[in-house]
Order: sequence, then C-alpha cells, then structure tokens
Amino acid sequence: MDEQKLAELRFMGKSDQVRELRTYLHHLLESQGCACRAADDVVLAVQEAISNVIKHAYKGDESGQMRLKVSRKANQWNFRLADFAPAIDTSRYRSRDLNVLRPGGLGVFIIEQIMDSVEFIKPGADEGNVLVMTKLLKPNFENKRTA
Amino acid sequence: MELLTRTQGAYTIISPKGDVDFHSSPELREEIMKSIEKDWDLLIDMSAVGFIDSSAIATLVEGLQRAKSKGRIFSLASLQDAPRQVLQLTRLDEVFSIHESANDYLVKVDEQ
Repeated sequence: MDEQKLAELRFMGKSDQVRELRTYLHHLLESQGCACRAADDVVLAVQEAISNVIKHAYKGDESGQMRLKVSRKANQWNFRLADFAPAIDTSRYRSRDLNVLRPGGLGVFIIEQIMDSVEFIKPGADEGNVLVMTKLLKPNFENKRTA
Repeated sequence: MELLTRTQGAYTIISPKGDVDFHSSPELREEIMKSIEKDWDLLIDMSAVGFIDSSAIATLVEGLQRAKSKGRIFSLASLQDAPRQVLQLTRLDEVFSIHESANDYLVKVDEQ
C-alpha cells in the first residue's frame, strides 16, 4: 500500500493557531476511523512536540514557523514536524524519571509513551529541526499504550 | 481559557474554562499561587476543561507542592476524560486528590 499524504499544515506557535491545529488533527484522525481516545493521545503528543519547538528551538518566540506533515501507510501514521530555527542539541531531548515529583519536564515522556517511535531526522534544505513521530493506529480500535 | 475564581467556606474554587496548554497555563499558575499565598484551601474545578498538556500538569504539580508546604489542601474535581487520561499517563492520578464532582465535594465539606 502506498503512503497517503493526508495533510500539510504550516503554522506559527501562536495560541489560536496551535488550538486550531489540534482541532483539525483530531477531526482528521477521527475521519480516518481512529477512536476518540487514540485521537486524544496523538493530538496531545503533537502538542507536546510543538511546545518543545516553541520553548527550545524558537526560545519562546511564538511567531516561529512550523510545518506538520501527516501521512499514513496502512495502519502506520507518520507525523513529521519541522521548524525553521537553528539546530537544537537533540541529545538533551530525553524523558525524565517519573518517580521524582516535580513540575515540568514531562513533554518528552508523554510523546514517547504515546508514539511508537520518535526520532530527529536530517532536516531538508530549508528546515531547522525535524522530528518524526510514528504511531500504529488500527481503525476503530482504542490506542494501546505501553505505559 | 477563561478563569472563574470564587470562595466557599475555607476554599477557593478556581474554574478554568477551555484548554489549559502551553499558552494558557501561566495564567492558571498565577491564579493558583495567588490563592495559596492567601492561605486558602484550593479546589480546581476541571469540569469545563477539555484538554490539558504537560504545562498544565506542571502547574498543577507546582500548586500541589506549594499548597502542601503551607499545610493547605489542593484538590482537583470533575475531570473530563481527556485530562484524566493525561494524569493517568503521567502516573499522577494517584498523587492528586481527585473528586468526581466539585459541587458534591463542597456540599460534603460544608456538612462537616
């Protein structure tokens, strides 16, 4: 089965645009047969990735541009999030120990729990950092978490 | 996100409405910290919150820790499914005191 390109969205990190993207993505997933809970999870993971771009790549500048490409090959969904900021140190992009109760640092943990694979890939010519998240989603089935 | 804050007995009840995310959680944090500084017990009524992310979680954890350090109560109530799932995913659902209904909880508190 060929890879289906489902969406290519270009947006800034501003509140209204990110909120609209969440709504759009949720509808897209449900329209493709994903259960609501699975859609909730994927939208949360994408939100966390976007928040990380704003915080770490754009240093809090919400006018920074991003591009999200969504594609699907059978049950495998790919979410490719690119920014146009200077390259970040991806070695610092890691999950933290949940046994320590403290505010913050849960974004990467959430992404890794929800997605089946998460990796930075070599950016394209006009891109800064590219994170690719992959999720196996069977239509009308609940998302199975590994947690 | 909109915020409604009211008091009842020894409690301040903060009711966010909308999504609590990277953009809006600082506003919620400010309101929580302000109430804790006034030495109120806190109940966060989540009935009108459909989405939270790790920033919201960080705000709630910080509120819980600050309230505890001052000997105050910090509780959540009326969680919708999606926010509850996020708390479960981050294994914080057992760290917070969570009530099914904000109103029922406050009635019980009033009766005691």
